[in-house]
Amino acid sequence: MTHRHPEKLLVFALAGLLTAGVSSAAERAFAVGGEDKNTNITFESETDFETILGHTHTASGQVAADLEAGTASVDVRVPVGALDTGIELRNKHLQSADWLDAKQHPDLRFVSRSARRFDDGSWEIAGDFSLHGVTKPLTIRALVKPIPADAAKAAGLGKGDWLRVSTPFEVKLSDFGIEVPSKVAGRVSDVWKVKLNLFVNAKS
Amino acid sequence: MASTGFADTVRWARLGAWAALLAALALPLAAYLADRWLGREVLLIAPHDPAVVTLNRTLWSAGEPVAEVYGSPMSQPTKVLLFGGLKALHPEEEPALSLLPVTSNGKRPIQVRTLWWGVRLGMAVLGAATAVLLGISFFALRRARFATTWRRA
Repeated sequence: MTHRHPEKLLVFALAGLLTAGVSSAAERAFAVGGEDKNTNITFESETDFETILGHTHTASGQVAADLEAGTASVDVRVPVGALDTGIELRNKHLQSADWLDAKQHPDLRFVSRSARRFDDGSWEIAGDFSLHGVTKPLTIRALVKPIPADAAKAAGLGKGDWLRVSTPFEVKLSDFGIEVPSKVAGRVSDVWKVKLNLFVNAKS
Repeated sequence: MASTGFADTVRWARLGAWAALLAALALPLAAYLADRWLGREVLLIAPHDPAVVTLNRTLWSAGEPVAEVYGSPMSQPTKVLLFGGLKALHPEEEPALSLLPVTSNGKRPIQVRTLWWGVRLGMAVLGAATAVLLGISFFALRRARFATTWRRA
């Protein structure tokens, strides 16, 4: 098969590549992180011994979204060193080489591959979650709510447009090559329930 | 002389066994009373910043979960011992709800399930101690009787 106008094919191919990218012209970039109050991420381990509710107020990254068109991309990082279980010694154990190994693998990371919006305003975001040097596919359901400018101003969130993003998901530690040490077996769960509560900001 | 030593061992072992047994029985009783008087069903939350709470309250509408307004909650309520200044929060939107903020300052409540876990562990240890002391008492008594019989013979 031959084409009489190969340059046209090249133009179409380039146009196709550009439109297939995750960001569209109407997408806006929202920054994750900033002040502590913008981030409240929790993780929960439930056993017969106790339920541990840990948290962090530290995250970074970017959410690009076109709320009208229902397209979005997400890249969020959470430093392992900022995870707080409420007990200093337990934090040290959590970050040690026996567990999450903060030195070798300093960040948890979620990078989206696709996103779609539902009529109720929630989003299904499929992507890759990396923990402890292992990356696995993960699909999350996120609630995204635009914050009215006056409400954001009254709460002292700062200038620009704001979105509130919240999403729960589960992480099975053994899937990421993390074994609960035998000395705390039965007191820490293999499955952690994680919840992200983020206020993300578009400055312009 | 030897039988007096054995008799002392028997006496002390029996006393120890009784003490361990009483302690083993007292543990669940104390835990039950603590559970009954201080135990409260609460939803632990990692609290939001006060400004965020104010914002969430303005965005909240009836039918939406209330706990999320104030913090990031655990998936299930849990029973904790409320004492030493710990106080549950009852939101205006749902006064029946008991929220207990947990922060990073180390002031965290004792969960009732942890208390009972400790009681089970304590009872097992004290039960084993009781058995060991009764065993010592039994063998010391036999040795004492044997020594007495041998001396008479």
